[in-house]
Amino acid sequence: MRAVQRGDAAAYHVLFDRHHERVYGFLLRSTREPEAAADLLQETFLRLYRRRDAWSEGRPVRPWLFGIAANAARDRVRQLARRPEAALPPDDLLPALSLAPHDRLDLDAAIAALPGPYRDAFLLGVVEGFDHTEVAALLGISPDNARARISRARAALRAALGGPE
Amino acid sequence: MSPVPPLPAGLRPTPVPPAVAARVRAAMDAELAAARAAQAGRRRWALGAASLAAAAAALLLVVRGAAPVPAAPGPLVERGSGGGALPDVALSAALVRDGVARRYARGEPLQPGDVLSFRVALDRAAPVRLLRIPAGGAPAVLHQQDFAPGEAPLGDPAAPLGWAVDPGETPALFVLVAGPVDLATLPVGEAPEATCAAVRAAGAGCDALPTAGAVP
Repeated sequence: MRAVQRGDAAAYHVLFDRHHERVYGFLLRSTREPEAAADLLQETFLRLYRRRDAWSEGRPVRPWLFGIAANAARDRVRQLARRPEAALPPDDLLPALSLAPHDRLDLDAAIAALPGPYRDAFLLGVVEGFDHTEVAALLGISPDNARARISRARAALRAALGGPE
Repeated sequence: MSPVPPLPAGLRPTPVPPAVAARVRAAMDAELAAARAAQAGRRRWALGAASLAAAAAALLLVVRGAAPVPAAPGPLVERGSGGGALPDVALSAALVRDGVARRYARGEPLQPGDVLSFRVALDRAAPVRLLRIPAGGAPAVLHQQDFAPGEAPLGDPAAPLGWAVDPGETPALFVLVAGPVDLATLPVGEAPEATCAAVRAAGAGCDALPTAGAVP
């Protein structure tokens, strides 16, 4: 990342090589739209470069990169005004996921059926392996809220996929 | 370096479509080129050094308003390794406008302040030259370098080339020539197809990218 800060093109591409598939996977599962995920992938790596001076030595690159990706995805949602935060149901009211019969064993389909904020928390906390504190920072919510969203998302997925409650 | 955890069981990998990866890489190159062009202030042609010896000394060489290097009449000394067949070459460009990078569509109108960066795909090692042929004008060599097989931005990897568009810039043809050819034999003011046909007839690989003039 230090080399990227100096404007080293090769280092910038190495960073892309290392992380672009997982960032794309997160964006694809978050937006559920391949074209949007592609646009956001580009936006993420351009923002990373434009904000390279904000990175400091010793700061892990991966959470920082996913934070940029999550912000880009949130900006898109705001622009589309499709998924306002106010519409998020209280944790206790997370509805049962509605899955078609052929999707009952499909984890991807079940994740896609989660409400957006729960989906993003699950993707970052479980799929990408960030801890609650990191997920909270990435999503701009409290750690307790992050923990609750991940927990509720897990429970909803277990129920949808027929696993133990 | 932060470790990348394996995907949880039950989740399918989501490979990035090659076209998407190529598009993002082009945008990244354009972003780098735009940043360099911005650093160069009024310097127009952000040019990576073509040789290792020069690379350490100069990242930005040619200044805005300076005359491009005239086309040399003779062929390049080195030849490609492809034997009788011509090198297969593709030239593409990314455009940065108002800080937003995207793929440049051939012939798309440009605006003053736009920055073009170039990417080359080549099937074998060959010396390449990037020419700019303004409408009705003679070809000028903007850059030359030895290029390895594969796809990469044109210029030094640490300093990709960027072409900053001037007000009043006329339509022009950017031509990538792979291999030896006498540039004096190139037609002037022809369409990309005719220009590249002449290059190929002379024994070199070719791809051309037409650009419209700058809209004030």
